[in-house]
Amino acid sequence: MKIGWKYLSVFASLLSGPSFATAQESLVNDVNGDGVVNVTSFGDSITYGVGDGLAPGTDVPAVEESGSPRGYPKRLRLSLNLSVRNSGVPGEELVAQGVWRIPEVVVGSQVDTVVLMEGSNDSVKQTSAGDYARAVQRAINVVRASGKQMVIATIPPPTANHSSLAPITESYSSVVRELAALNEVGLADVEALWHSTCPELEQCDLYNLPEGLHPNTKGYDALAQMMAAALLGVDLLSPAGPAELESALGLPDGGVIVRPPVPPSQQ
Amino acid sequence: MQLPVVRSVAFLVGAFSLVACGGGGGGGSTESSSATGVRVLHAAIDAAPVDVVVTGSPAPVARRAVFALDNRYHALPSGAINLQLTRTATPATVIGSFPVTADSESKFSILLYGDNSTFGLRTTLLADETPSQSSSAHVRVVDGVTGAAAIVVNFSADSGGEGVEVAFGQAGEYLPVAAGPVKIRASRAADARAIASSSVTLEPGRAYTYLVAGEVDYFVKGVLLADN
Repeated sequence: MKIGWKYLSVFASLLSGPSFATAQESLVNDVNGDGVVNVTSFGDSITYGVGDGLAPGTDVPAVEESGSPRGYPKRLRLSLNLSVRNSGVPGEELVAQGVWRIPEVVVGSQVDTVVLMEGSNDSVKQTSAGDYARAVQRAINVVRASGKQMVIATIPPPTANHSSLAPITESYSSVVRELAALNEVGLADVEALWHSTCPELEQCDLYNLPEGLHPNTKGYDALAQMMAAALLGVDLLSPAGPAELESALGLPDGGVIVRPPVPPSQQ
Repeated sequence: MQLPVVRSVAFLVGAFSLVACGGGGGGGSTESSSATGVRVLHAAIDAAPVDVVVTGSPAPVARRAVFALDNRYHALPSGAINLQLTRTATPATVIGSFPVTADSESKFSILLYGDNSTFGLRTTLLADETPSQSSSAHVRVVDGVTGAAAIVVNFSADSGGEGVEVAFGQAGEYLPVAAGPVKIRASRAADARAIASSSVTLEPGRAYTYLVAGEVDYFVKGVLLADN
C-alpha cells in the first residue's frame, strides 16, 4: 500500500513544525520537530500481533503467544511509510500494568503520536469500567503532558469462545468514546467498525475462530486500516470513509476491508 | 485502581512549559484569554478536563482545562459571583465551588489536585496577587503533586540555593528570584527525592507560578506559568 497524493499534505507538517491536533484531524505530525514522524502502538497481544499469519477459515481453538512483533503496527509502517514502534505486551492489563508502563514508553522518547488500544485482558479480570476509565484518563494525561498526540481505540468485540467478555469490553469501549471526545484526542472506533464489517460476529472472518479474541491475517489488515484512518483523520464510519481511505492509501476500489454501518434507511 | 507493588523508576519531566498570559498552551480551552479573571491549575493525574462555570451563566467561562497544560486566564463578570469547577461536558458534576467578589483587576487560580482513587479530587482557590513591578522576577510554587506531604523547590543558577517548602495542595508566597537563566529543582521534602526539574529564563518584572503536578513515582511535571 502506498499513501495517496491527496494525503501527502499531512507530511508537509514535517516542514511546519510542532502542532496539536484534535479528533478527525491528521495525527501524522512531526510534533517534536526531529524530522521523523514516530508512532508508538501501545497495548496488549492484539497490538503485538498474536494470531497474525493465520488465514480465515482455519480452525483455531486457541492462539499461541509466540513469534516476533507483527500485527497492525507492522502494516501501518509499510502503508504510511512511518516509523511505527510495536509496544504491545501479550497478556497485559491496562489497569494493573499498562498504565504504569506508559511513562516508561513516552517520557523522553522521540514518539510523536501514541496509539492506545488495551482492555481485553482487563475484561478477563472483570475490572470495572470506572477503574478502566481512570486508567485511560491517566494515560491521556501523561501522553499529552509529555507533548505527544494520541489516538485511543475501542476494543475489538470478543466472540465465539470469548463471547462472555463482550459486555465488559463494550463498557470499556463506551468509556473510550467518551474520553476521546472529552479530551479531544483521536478515536479509532474499532468496536463499531468490527460490528459493521461483521454483522454476524460469531462467523466473522476477521477473527481466528472459534478462539474469537485475536484477529487473523485479514483481521490485522482491517485493524491496520482502521488505525491508518484514525491517524489520517479519515472517518471510516461515514459512507464515504472507505473510498477516502482507499484514495489515501493508494488502494484499488474495494481494497478497504472495513465497511461503515449501513444507514437505517437502507436496512 | 490497583496500585503497583514496586515502581523503581520515577519519571521526571525536565522539559517545562512556559506560556505567557494569552499564549496558547495547546489543547486547552477555546475561549479568548484575558489578562485577568480565572484560570485552572490542573494537577490531578487521573482527572478528566474541567470547566469553570459562573453560577447562573449559560456557558462556562473556561472550557476543557487539561492536566498540566492549560494556564490562561478567562475574564469574569464583576461583582459577587460563585465559581464552580465542573467536569467538562458534565455540568452536574461539581468538583469545587467558590464564592468570590470579582472586579476588572481580579485574578484567581483554581487548583485541581489529588486523584480519583486514593486522595479524592480536591480544589483550592488561589488569589493571584502578583507583586508590584521590580527589577527581579517573582515566583511562587503551587504543590499539586500526590505522593509527597510537602515539596521543596530550589530556584538558582546552580540549583544549590535555599529551597522553598510548600505543602500538598498549597501555594507559597511570591518570592523574588534573580531574572535570567534559572534552574528549578523540585524534590520531596521528606527524603529529598528529586521529582521535577526545569531550566528556564525569567524576565525582570514578571511574576510566575511554578506548578508541580502529577504523582511521585509515576509521572510528575513542573510547569512554569506567567502570571502577568
